[in-house]
Amino acid sequence: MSVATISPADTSRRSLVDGKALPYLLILPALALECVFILYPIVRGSLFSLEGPAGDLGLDNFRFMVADPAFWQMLKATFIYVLFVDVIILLVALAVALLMNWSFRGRGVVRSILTVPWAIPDVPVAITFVLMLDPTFGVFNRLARLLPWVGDNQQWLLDPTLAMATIIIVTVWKGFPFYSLVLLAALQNVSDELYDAARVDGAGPIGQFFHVTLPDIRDTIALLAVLAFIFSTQQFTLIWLITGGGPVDATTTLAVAIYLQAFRFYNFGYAGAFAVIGFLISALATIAFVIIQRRLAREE
Amino acid sequence: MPKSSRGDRGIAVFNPSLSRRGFMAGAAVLGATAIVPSRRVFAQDRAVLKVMSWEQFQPGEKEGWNALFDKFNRSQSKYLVEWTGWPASQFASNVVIQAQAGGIDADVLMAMPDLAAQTIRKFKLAEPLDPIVAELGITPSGGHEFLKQDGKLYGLSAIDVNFALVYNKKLFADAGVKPATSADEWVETTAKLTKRPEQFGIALTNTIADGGEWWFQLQNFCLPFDGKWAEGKTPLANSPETVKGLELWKALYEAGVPQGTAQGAIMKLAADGRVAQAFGVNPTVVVLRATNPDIYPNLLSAAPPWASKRSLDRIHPLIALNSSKNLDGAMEFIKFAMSPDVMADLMETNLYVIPPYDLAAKSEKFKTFLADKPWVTGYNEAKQVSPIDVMGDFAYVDDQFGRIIMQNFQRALQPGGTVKDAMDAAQKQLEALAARI
Repeated sequence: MSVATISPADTSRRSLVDGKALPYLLILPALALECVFILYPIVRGSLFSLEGPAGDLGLDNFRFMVADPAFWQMLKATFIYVLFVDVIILLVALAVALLMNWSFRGRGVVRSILTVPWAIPDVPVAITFVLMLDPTFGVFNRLARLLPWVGDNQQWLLDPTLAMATIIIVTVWKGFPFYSLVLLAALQNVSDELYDAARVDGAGPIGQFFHVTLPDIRDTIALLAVLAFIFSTQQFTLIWLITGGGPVDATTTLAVAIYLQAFRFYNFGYAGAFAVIGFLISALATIAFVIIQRRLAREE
Repeated sequence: MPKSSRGDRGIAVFNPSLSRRGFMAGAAVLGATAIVPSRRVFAQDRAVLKVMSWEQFQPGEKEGWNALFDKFNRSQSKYLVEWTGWPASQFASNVVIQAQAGGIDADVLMAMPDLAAQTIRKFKLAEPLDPIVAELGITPSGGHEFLKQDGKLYGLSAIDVNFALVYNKKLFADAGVKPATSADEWVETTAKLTKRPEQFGIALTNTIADGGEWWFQLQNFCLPFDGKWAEGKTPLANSPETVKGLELWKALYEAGVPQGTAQGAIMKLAADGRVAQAFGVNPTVVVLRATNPDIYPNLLSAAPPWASKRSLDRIHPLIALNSSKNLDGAMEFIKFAMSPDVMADLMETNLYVIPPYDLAAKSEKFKTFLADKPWVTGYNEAKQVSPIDVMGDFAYVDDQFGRIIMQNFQRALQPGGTVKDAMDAAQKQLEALAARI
């Protein structure tokens, strides 16, 4: 009876659901959301970048940007910040992960404590550091003055080099637990048999690290490097609250510059041009990651 | 007994023949009736007037404004005034975005000076308020000049803050000094009042992280030697007058400022009686009193210590938006807010001390209110100058202008840096900016 009642419409619907169209149908909602919340803003933002101060469309913003010394200063600051944060955060995270991978009493407690910086929201971290870095009253200078070669109070946030160093240190301090935890998970997946074999071959701790540990967690490090690159390119809160992009624009990175142009100066078109550059940088980093990962996979 | 339509619908809920959907609808109406405040019950009979502002988010000020709104709503039966807007930090950008998109979604706008200038001159969304001035017979304060165009007045001050020297009379007496009356004297007294790190001669914001506040103060420093930041589209950052003004700031910075200290921490030091003077707006006194009530009796003010006594006066006006569907209501609301008794109440509740017009002559209450505030003297002696008067066409890009000045000025604060070199660099960037405005 049921066979007799199946209509051609039902048949085509069933074949649609059972056939090749099903995966596409299933990803359709996600695709729609991506289009609305990711693709559209990217396209709209890119179009913004073509809008001049008088509402005219063209490449004026990009022309002005290339001729603007502040743009190149911003790119330089972004490059320095991202490079140092990337390298230092991965080194610190790896060192901490290696320590946490050792078996010692109270390891669980230490691991929990180590996640604290990551768990604290950016705003209280920034405010606390601003107070600690105060040249006259801050604890940093009190500690610095204990050093025999430090006489005067350091102007941490008023000197361009020190200000950049400061935000790099704070970003690393705030972010390393995340990277440490991911690396720790990777370290725990390294087979003990490999270490045994290395020991049999006469490898010491350093040899084991370079010939067993590092190759095994290489993919994770590469992924974290890309994440650190993207996160630090996007970092805004800590920089804005600690230095405001100063002094002398020394810490005005891409995210700060976009915010300033869009929401303080209302130059939405110019901010759009900056954002396009930011998008391209992040996209290039991701593409580089994919290429490196493929090459590594091929080598293996 | 007459029933409101809302009440009628409420009774219908209990009709036993009602469908499930009808029941749900009725329940929703009942729920809404319980939640919505009673004053909204009248909203259906009245036209809603939207006042776009940041004041509804301001602790210590929103109460005064809410009371004014309530008074207006009770004083007539045609309009119901309601808040709309954002906190101060997001306010100007959101309003500009709306204005650029074609219109501001409100009937009355409260605006910061630069936003007011844009609303009037660039977006041309303001309605002249001269009829209100004539009807109330008031004389708006001198600071209202920037709200005029073609002889018409487009805004009336709701909040007015100006700059003067606030000082701690006890610390001054201890050091045996009096408030300065000239630039040189100012640096001298500041040095005498400084005993680092226990006591600082003057509170001046000096970090880019507090850039908004810093520019807010620093903008005044073109005035000591009668300079301007710009004339039309020509920046004057490296003019001799402006450079001398900034050299004065630098001398004060070196003589007695907590260098590199965050604005919040500086205010705490001042409230603790560890800063002798501040160049600030009148609400500074209110903030200091709130932080430490014991400091309040020691606070006095003096006019800006230079011959002209000119300082920036930041009028935050109420503007009737000509795009409003209830323009008459918008005008009626502003007239109500400006009426002497209502304004006197607002000023007393919110501790505003700079009246929008000759209020002391029109309200005994306000006169009495001012009488027990000796710290107001210096503010009243200061000669009002609007930021628009010193910024030229850059008034529309005030923030960007300020950022360029501050970032370059920081070079002058580095060892070996000079104000002239820093301002020459700023001038070049400002000229590039001029090409884009």
